[in-house]
Amino acid sequence: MLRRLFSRPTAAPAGPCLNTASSAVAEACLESCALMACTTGRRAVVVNVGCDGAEACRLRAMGIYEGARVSVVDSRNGLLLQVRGARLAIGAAVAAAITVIPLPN
Amino acid sequence: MGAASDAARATGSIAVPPAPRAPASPLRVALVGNPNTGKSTLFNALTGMRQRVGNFAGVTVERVEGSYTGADGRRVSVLDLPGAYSLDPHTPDEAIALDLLAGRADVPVPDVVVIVADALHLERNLYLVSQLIELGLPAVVALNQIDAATKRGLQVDVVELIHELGVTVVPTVATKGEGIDRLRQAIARAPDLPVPSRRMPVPRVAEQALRPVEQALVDDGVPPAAAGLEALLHLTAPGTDHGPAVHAAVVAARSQLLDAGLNPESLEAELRYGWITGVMHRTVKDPDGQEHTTSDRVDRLLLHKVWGMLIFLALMGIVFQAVFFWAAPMQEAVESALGWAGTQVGSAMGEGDLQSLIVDGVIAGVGGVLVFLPQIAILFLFIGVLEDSGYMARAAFLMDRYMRTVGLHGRSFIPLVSGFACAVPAIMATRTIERPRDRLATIMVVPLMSCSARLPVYTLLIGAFVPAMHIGGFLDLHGLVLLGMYLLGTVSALVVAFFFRRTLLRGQTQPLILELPPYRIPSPRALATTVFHRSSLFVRRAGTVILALSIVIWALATYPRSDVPDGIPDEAVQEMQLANSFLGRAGHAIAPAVAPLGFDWKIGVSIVSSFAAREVFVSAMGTIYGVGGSEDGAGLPEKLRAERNPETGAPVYTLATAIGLMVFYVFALMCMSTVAISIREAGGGWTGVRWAAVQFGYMLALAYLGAWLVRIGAGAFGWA
Ligand SMILES: Nc1nc2c(ncn2[C@@H]2O[C@H](COP(=O)(O)OP(=O)(O)OP(=O)(O)O)[C@@H](O)[C@H]2O)c(=O)[nH]1
Ligand SMILES: [Mg+2]
Repeated sequence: MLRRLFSRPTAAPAGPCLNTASSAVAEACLESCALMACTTGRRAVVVNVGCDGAEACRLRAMGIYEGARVSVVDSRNGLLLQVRGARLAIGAAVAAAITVIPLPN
Repeated sequence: MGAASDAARATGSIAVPPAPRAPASPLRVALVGNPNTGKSTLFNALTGMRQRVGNFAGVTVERVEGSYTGADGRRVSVLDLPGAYSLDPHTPDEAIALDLLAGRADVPVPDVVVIVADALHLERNLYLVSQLIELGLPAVVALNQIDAATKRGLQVDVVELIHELGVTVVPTVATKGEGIDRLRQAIARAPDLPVPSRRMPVPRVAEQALRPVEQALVDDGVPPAAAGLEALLHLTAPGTDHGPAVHAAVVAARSQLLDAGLNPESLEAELRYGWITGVMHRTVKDPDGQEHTTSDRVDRLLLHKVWGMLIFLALMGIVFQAVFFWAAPMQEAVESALGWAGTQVGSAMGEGDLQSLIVDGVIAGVGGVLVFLPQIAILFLFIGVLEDSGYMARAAFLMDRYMRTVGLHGRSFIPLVSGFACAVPAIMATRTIERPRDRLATIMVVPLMSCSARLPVYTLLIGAFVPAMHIGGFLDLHGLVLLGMYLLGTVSALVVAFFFRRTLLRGQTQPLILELPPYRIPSPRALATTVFHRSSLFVRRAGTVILALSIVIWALATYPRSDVPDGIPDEAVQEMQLANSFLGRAGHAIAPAVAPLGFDWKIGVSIVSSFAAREVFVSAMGTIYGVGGSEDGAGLPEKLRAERNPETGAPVYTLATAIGLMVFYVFALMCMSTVAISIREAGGGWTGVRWAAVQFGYMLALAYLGAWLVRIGAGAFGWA
């Protein structure tokens, strides 16, 4: 676990930080950015699941919650993630609403 | 493994132990777990039943009951349930498991919960496991797919896992029946063990904040054992099924948590996964790591934007070619066997109504449908391979963005493809779609996918009227026309969905969240079971519904017997009798309605009789031409080709008529079972009836319009 369990700051950065459209920017993104901006092979820590209530619930149960570590297996269409040992495909809309901090490889 | 004794370590239960039950009553067991963990495979292994299994999430979408006799002679009734990711359901199929466990179903709460976990994805599975052990019900964990985990180099320390979970854990390999006896023993013992309870630590602040919520829930009738679980669930999803006191307590708890620097939305996930990380660390050895599996390498290709699509299209093309080519020899064999049976029975019985009933009614009617069994079996085989290999979920992911442009959902893909086999299970498969509007839009268009009951109609007409022409490569005109019909249905489904999403079912389509299962080589045995199972449904249908309708149609085509003048040829006599029969009279009444489509009364009456089931078209044609025609031994295609208009002498069936008829069948919803299931799944009651009526109506209108356009178009090109 990257961060200790109960000490996460509640004020997760509101909204994506930088221009997340290009992957070059994402590489340079040291602070948080949208999960959608992460490219294949990137690992990241989730800081905010900013989706609709029901979707956020579902994602959290499947292992995408604030503080969780995910890695991007494939970013060619939508995102294919490795989360807790399973492969999770999520659409671009969901991936855009999740804020992460990319980890250096 | 010494599982049972270790399970007795469960401590600190706050639940009242279940009252002793009379041993005569059956032990009720429910299989609960994440999707695709092998619940149905385990169910089949336990009960000897043949429930459908497949390698994607959401195969089982309804509750299924089976039973076995335990070693002590006690009956054990087992429920197979749809999978769920958590006890906070988001889809109709997920809700089924929760409703049962919460006592909201029409059957009692189970005596033992068998929690099925998949060893390959244990970490994610443990989330639901940790929720389920907090329910306060006797539980056993079946740690399934141990073989697959071992193959990947994962080692699970089962004894340690029992210590961690506080329940019996039985390793199983459901596909091979390994561990099933041990599981049965554990199930039998579970009610006598202390019930499991929460194992994960909860920080003091959270505990204090949640205690009033738990109290309010208990006051509201929630069993004390499950109050802790409920309280956590309420933090994220404030249910409406509890009183204002609970609501107020939840609001207070949330603000208390926020003050303490905790996020109430994600508290449960953080707590559970935090605990799970530790459990995984202590119980699972993963020397290789799971970073890049073979599945991922295959996905590099199959999920490629261009290659993935091309491979998908090529796969579909191969399926339709195979349906025609591989089946042809088998189909000929069945056909000649039926022809032989017809002649044998015909000559053995001597002229008469009974002979006509058997030869023209039963053999020509039901047999005419059974001829297509090889094709249908091959189609089922291909769908089975797609389902069992794990490709189905990939295709759904790949198609998601295209589906989205017409307002459908990646999850609509699997129901649509299942629609190629039969619309009934396909419509039920829409239960995996979360939003009612997405679901309804899918239900409305599923029957446009050409189901296996259309295959007899297509094949008969293509075989009789489309010239067999090789086009190059593995392509052949027969297969191509067939593919065309399937494409017409599929494209129309997308277009119609688009219209529904712009009119009656407006709204945003839910984004996709879908688990991709690991690829598996489909086991020949499982495939054989699936194909046999689905084919036998088809045969049973032929032996019941189609048989009954065939006999009715035969009777209508044979009676009343009319007097005919002497001295005219046999064939003309039969033709006149047919025209004067009840069926003939009805046909002539229908004729004007289908005349604009270029159909004669025989086609018209066959269409009308197939409103209950499409295959009846083929059996009705078989009967009509059996009763009316006289060239014995000629197959139905030859008879159709020889048919002439009595007035003009022109052939009744041209290529255009045949295409028009096929197009009619692509669109028309002629299936009672589909209408019934649409009513139920679209909401039941009047709502359901209204939706089903809309569905039936638009499809009939499209069918008529489509067939008419074919006629007009063919006329314009001068080859009508
Ligand atoms: N290797 C291996 N595969 C298994 C085992 N048990 C089940 N499977 C496979 O896992 C897949 C899913 O099995 P199902 O029984 O349909 O799973 P389910 O839990 O009923 O799935 P849903 O109904 O979708 O929730 C199938 O492809 C099975 O063949 C096992 O013990 N070992
Ligand atoms: Mg199942």
